[in-house]
Amino acid sequence: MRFLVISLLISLAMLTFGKLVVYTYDSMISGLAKYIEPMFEAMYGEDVVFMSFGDAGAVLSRLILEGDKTEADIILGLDQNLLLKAEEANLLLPYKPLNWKKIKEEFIPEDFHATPFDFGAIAVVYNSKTLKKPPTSFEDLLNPEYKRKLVVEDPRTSSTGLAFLLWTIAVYGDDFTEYWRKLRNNILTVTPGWDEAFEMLESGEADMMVSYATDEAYSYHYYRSTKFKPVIMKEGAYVQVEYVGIVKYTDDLELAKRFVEFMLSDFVQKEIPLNQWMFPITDVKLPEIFVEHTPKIEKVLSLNPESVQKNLDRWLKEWTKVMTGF
Amino acid sequence: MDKSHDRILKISGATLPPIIFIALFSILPLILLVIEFKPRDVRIIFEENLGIIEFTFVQALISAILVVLLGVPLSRITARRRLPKTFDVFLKVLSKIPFVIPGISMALGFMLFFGRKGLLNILLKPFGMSISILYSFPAVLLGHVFYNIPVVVYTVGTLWEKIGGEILESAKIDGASDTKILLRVEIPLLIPSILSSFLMAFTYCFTSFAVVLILGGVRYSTIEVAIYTYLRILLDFRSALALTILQMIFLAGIAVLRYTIGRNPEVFHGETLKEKMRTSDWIYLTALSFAIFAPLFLSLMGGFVERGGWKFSLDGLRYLFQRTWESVLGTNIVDVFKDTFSIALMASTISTFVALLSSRISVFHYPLFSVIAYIPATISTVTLAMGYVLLEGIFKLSEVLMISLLHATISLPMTHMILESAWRRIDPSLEDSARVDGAGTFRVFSHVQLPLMWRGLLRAFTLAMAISMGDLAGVITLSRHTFTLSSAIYRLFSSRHVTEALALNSIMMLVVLAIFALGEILGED
Repeated sequence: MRFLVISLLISLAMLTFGKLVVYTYDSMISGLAKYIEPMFEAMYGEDVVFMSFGDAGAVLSRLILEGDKTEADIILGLDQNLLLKAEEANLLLPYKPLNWKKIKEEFIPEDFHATPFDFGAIAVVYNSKTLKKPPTSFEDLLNPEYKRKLVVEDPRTSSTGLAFLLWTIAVYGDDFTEYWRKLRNNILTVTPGWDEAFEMLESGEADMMVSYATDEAYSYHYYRSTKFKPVIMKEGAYVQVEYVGIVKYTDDLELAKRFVEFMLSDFVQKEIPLNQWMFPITDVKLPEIFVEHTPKIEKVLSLNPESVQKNLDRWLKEWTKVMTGF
Repeated sequence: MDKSHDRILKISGATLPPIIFIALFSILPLILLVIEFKPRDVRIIFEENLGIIEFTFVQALISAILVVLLGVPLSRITARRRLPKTFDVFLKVLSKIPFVIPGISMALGFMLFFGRKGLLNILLKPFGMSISILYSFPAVLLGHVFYNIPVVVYTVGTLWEKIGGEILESAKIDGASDTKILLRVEIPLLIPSILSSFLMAFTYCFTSFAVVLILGGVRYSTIEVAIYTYLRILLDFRSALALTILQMIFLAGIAVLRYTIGRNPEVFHGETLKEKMRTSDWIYLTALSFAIFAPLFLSLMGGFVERGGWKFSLDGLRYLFQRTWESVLGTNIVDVFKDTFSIALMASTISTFVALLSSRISVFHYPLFSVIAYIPATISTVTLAMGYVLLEGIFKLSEVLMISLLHATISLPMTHMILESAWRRIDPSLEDSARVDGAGTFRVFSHVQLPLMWRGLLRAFTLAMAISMGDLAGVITLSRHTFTLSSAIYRLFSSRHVTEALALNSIMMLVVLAIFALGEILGED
C-alpha cells in the first residue's frame, strides 16, 4: 500500500507543464542531448526534456501508439526510411526552417516534413591486428580468405543490420539475394544487435563486423586506439540521414520550431562529430580527428525511401529465405 | 447457513483478484491493441510465416525433450541425495540465475566458454582437439537447456522430495532394485509433473528470442523474432498482432493440455528417503555444472577481466563508480539500484499475492485456474508492453507502478507454478481439522498453512524479483525516466560504454545471486 501511495505521488510530481518534450533514441541521450539540453535552456529559457524508448524504430512505434495523447513535441533521430513511416502515420507537422540554406545541398529535402541535421555512413569495421588485407569492395568481401570472419547484424532486429542490407540493395538492386547467397560463406554469424557483434569483434571471435564509418575516430578519441578500422566499399557509401521533426500534437509550436532552427545552428552542428559520431549537415569545420580517422566518402549511393517503404517487407522475407531457407 | 455453500462463496471471493488481475493486465492490453490496430487475417499470416512457425515448433519440441531428459536426473539428485548443505544451497541458487541473465551477458558467457577462442577450446588444445558448437542448432538446444532446467527442478524436484519414504521403503523390502523403484514407483508418480514441466519448458522455448538468435544465429529464428520485426522494423502492427494472436491460441492449447493432465496429490505429503551421493551422481552433477554453469561464471567474470583477454582487471568497476553517469542515464547509479529494487519488490509482492490465490484455487478447487494463470506466458512480452502503453492512457498510473504491474504479469506463470507445488505439499486434512476447531480461512492460512508454505513463498518471491530485474523489453518500451539495472546496462552498451556495461552486469548478477542465496538460506526447511 505504501508503495502505491508513493508511486501515485511520484506520478503526480511528474506531470509536465510547459516544457519541450523530445522523443529520441537511446544513445542520443548520452551523446548529443547532453550538450543540447543546457544550451537550449540557456538560450530560450525553457525546459527541454529528452525521453527515449530504445532505438529509433522503437521510439517511432511508441509515438504511433500514443497518437494524439502523446506528450512529445519533437521527434529527433528518425532516418530517411523511418521518416517516411512517420509521414505515413501522419504524425509530423511540416516546417521549413528559416536557415534551411545552411544544409548541404545534396541533403536539402523537397518538402520539409522534417529537417535533416546530420548523416553517417555504414562501414565494414575490421580488426587491423588480425586482418592485414581488408576487403575494399563488395565483390572483394566474397573472397574465400574471409571465410567465417564477418559478423553482420540481423536486419529484422537491428537498424545497423537493416542499413547494411539496404546498402547491398543499393549496390545490387534486385540481385541482392544472389550476393547474400555468396556472402553466407564468409559470415560467421548474424547477431540480433550491434552490441553482440561488437562483443565478438572485441573478443577476437570475429575479424570484421558491420558498423559505422566513424568507429575508428571514436576509439581513437576515447582509447587512443586505432585497432578497429572502417572500410567503405568502392561501390559507394550508404548514407543514413537523421531528421528532426515537429510532432503534430505539439502544444508549443513556437518552441518546437525554435528547436528545429536550433538543431541547424553552429552551436549544435559543431558538437555533432564528437558527441553524435556522425557528420554535420552544414558546412561547419570538422575536428582534426574526423579528418584523420574517418574514411573519405567519395560516392554516395541512395535508395528511394518510397521504394524502401514499398518493398522492405518483401526484401526482408527474401533475405530471410536466403539466410535461413524459410 | 449451509456449510458447503459458505465455502463456495469464500472460494468465489478469492477467485476474483486473480481473474481481475489477468483480465486487466494481460487481456485488456491486447484488446486495446486490437481495437486501435485491426489485426490482419490470421490465416494469411499463418501461411506467410509457415516456415518459421514450423521451425519454432520443432526446436521447442526437441529442446523441451532434452530439458526433461537432463532435468529429471538433476531433480532426482536434489530430491533423493544428501548433498552437503552448502552445495545444496549453491546448486539451488545457481539454477535460478539463468532467469535473470540479459541476452548480451548470456551470449558473452557462452562465447567465452564455447567460442573459437573460448575456455573449452583452450583446454582441448593440448589434446589436438577443438569444438565449434556456437551458431548451430546444438547451441540453441544448449541455451534452452541452460534456461529451462530450473523449471524441471522446481516442478519435479520439489514433488519428488515429498514422495513418502515409506512407499520407497516397502518397495525395497520387497526386493526391488533402485532402478526398479525409480522406473516402477517414482517416475510413474511423477509423470504428471514431468509432463507439466515439459509443456512449460516447451512454451518458454517456443517464445524464445535472444537465445535462438544469439546462440543459433540467423538460421534459427522463431515466431517471436518475426513479431519483433513487424513491431520494430516494419512498424506493421497489424501483422504483429495477428501473429501474436496466433501464437497465443496455440500456446493456450498447450496450457489446456497441461491442465488435462490429471494429478494425484495424495502421495506427496511425506518426506522422501535421502541417500548418499554416488559416484555416478557426482559425475553427472560435475559434467552438467561444467557445461551449464561455466558459461555463467564466465559471464559473471566479464566485468572483471580486461577486454579481449583473460587478465583480471577492475577498470570497468572503477570507471563505473568514478565517473558520473547523469549525462548517460539522466540519473545516478544509486537511483538505478533504488528503482530496480522498488520495481522488483512491488512486482514480486503483487505476483506472489495473485499467485498465492490462483494456485490455491487451482490445486484445491478449480484446476482450470492454472490455465488462466498461464495466459501471460502465451503473450509476446514486446506486444504486451506495447499494450501497456495504451493502458497507461486509461489508468494514469505512475510508470514505476506500470512497469511493476507488467513484471508481476510476466512472472505470474512461474510464481503460480512454484506455489502450486507448495500447496500440493500441504496436507488438505490439516485445513479441515483446523476448520473443525472453528478457524476461519485467513486464520487457517496464517497459522497453519503459512508456516508450511514459507519456503515456497520465498522462492516465488525471489524468482519474481529476478524476472523483474532481468526484463529489458518491457522497461525500455514503457519507461520515460526510470531505469532498472537491465535498461541501464542496455543504455551503457548502446552508448558504447562496453567496459562499464559489463561491470554493471557483473554487479547485477552478484546482487541477484545474493538475493537468491538469502532466500534459500532463510527459507530452509
